Amino acid sequence: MPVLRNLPIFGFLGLWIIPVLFCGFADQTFPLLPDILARRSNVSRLFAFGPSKVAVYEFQFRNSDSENFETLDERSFFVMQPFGYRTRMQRALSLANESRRRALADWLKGSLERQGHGQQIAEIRLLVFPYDIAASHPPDGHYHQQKSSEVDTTLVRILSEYDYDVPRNP
Amino acid sequence: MFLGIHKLYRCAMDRWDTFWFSPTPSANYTLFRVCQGVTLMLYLAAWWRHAPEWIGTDGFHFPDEVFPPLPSGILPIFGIIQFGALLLFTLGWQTRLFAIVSWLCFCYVTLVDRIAAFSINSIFIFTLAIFAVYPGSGRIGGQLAATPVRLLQIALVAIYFSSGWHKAVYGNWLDSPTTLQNIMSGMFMTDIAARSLQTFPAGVWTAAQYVTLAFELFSPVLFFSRKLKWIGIAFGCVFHIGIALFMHQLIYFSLQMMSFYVLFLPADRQRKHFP
Repeated sequence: MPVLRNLPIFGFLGLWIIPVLFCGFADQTFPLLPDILARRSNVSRLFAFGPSKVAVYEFQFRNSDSENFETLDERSFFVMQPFGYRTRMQRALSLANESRRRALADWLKGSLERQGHGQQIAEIRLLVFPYDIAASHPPDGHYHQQKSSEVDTTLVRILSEYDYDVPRNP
Repeated sequence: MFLGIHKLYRCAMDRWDTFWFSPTPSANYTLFRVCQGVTLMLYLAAWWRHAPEWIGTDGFHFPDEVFPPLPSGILPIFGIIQFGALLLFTLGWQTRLFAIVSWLCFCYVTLVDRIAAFSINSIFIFTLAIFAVYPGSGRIGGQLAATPVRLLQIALVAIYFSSGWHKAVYGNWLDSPTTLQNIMSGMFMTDIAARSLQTFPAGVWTAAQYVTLAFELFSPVLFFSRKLKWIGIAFGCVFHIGIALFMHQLIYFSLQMMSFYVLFLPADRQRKHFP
């Protein structure tokens, strides 16, 4: 068995095809590969569940000269919809842990302040609420993302709060 | 006894060599390259409309991404390199070189923004790597060792079978009759999907759910059996056309997966149509 001509076969089998199989059979990424490679083989765990509810995220912010929170229009910062009718922000939050949520809130603060011509953001909070698939049946068109104001307030909860400790304007 | 083991070893090695290295017409592999190249260009064209947000510094990116985003001034240059390399790869000009350049560019866009990267990215990284190692002849005529075709065929069946296994064992595709209906009604639901959900009774979607699962679980038999191959290809096409119609923007995934089917077609058909 000449080694050289078989080497790529073992490479492709070992680095991708076997990890893809492992992912599906063991419900976890292949432990023998570094994370950057193991994540590439995570293609067999898609759509395993048909959840009856989808999490929807919403940012609200408060300017330093105001007592009230305003809802962020996410489409002004996130236009792209990478697969499905959801913005990159929704997808990012579905992948985010607390430190990534914090990074997103900090980025939004900077972006809002640049857009608001010097107005400072004092507080940002992240809300989450469920979109009930069964309640929306039969659907009357493609998926539309709901706003927190459209759902029962008892279903809306605050996932994270970020206080930027900005001195209040007189 | 030693002679018996030696004979068994020789026999196994001969079978291994026949499976991986026997000459095969390059027509299917060439057509697969064109299909993958065109699909990848369409997919990238859709994402590039939002390049400043997607891979540029204008958009939000997780701080722990592998690569930093590109400044606005660099984006057009990167775009020209990415699409230029991909076009030349698709046309079969210096296939290895442009497969490598396309692979590098695609690895970058995958690793700079995990938010917009999905399974389709991982599969393209794999197929471009195959072409970087096994560029083929670059044209329809001629022959090549079966190695890349076999690897791609096995990869397709591995994706289907492990997905089916995962859905059946870890997911709720066997337990709940509404799994497919719920998936279709979520954030991927297109207007066509909404109308179909209104029109067809729940039983139709439950039946579609179990048939889809059966297709994935029986894919090794369907695709590697000479007699059942056409059923596998026909069913796979219906399955992926359904995904493309019912799930927003998954058309690129459907095209990508369906292009694997050309690797299972008899090669003389392609040669007849593309002399």
